[in-house]
Amino acid sequence: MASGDTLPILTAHQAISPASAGAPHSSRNLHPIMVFDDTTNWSTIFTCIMPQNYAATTGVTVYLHYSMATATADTVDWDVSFERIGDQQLDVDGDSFAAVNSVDNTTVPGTAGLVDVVNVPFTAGADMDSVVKGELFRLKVTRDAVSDDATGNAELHAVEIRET
Amino acid sequence: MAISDKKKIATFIGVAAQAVNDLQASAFRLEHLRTLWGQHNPDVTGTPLEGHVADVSAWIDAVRAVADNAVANGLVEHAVPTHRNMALGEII
Repeated sequence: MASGDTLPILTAHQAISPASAGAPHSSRNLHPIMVFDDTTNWSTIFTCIMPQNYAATTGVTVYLHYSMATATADTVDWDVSFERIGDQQLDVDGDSFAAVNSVDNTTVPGTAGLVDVVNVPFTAGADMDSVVKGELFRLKVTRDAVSDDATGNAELHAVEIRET
Repeated sequence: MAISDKKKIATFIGVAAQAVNDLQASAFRLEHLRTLWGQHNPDVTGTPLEGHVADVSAWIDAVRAVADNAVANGLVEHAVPTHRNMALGEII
């Protein structure tokens, strides 16, 4: 697969959030979103299968499409991590997310509700928990609210994973 | 990493704005009470209100004035709706 080509596309409808510090589902003008608190680090999780056309050479870049509920200034931080489920790789009774990669200090759009896109690169291999084509995996997205300084909810609309 | 000062300020404003809303609701309730009082106009002779009806009415006016002053309305205006007011810890 060529660099920049789209792998999975994940929307808010597909997200499942943990019982503790989970980002709840919501909507904004009928756009489905996951909402993230500005003081506690909330997360949501997407489950999908890595497409067969993933080359596993240069890794992937995860694009987050988000907006802010009310903030029109200051910055937002996001953390992303992979968990390989694979073929007899993981007992799903426990979590096994790899270390997070981040996109930090992004100045939020000057208009609340305006969707911005940020990206988080991962190299092939351990950085993305060694997920390869055809394998089931989970992707966790967390707002690092403890570190950023934009006030009010952040709203995650969708995630695109591209071949890097 | 510590919570940013901007979020702590948002929590202060948010909690204070809730108190302003409570105060404004109290002012409304007191004014309504005064209206009902006027409609019934009971005899206060020999009660704790004897000689103090005007004082109580003035106090209700003062509550309304405090609830609606510029500082109070400014706090409400600047409260961030989706901020959950947790950046200063547990608030009683």
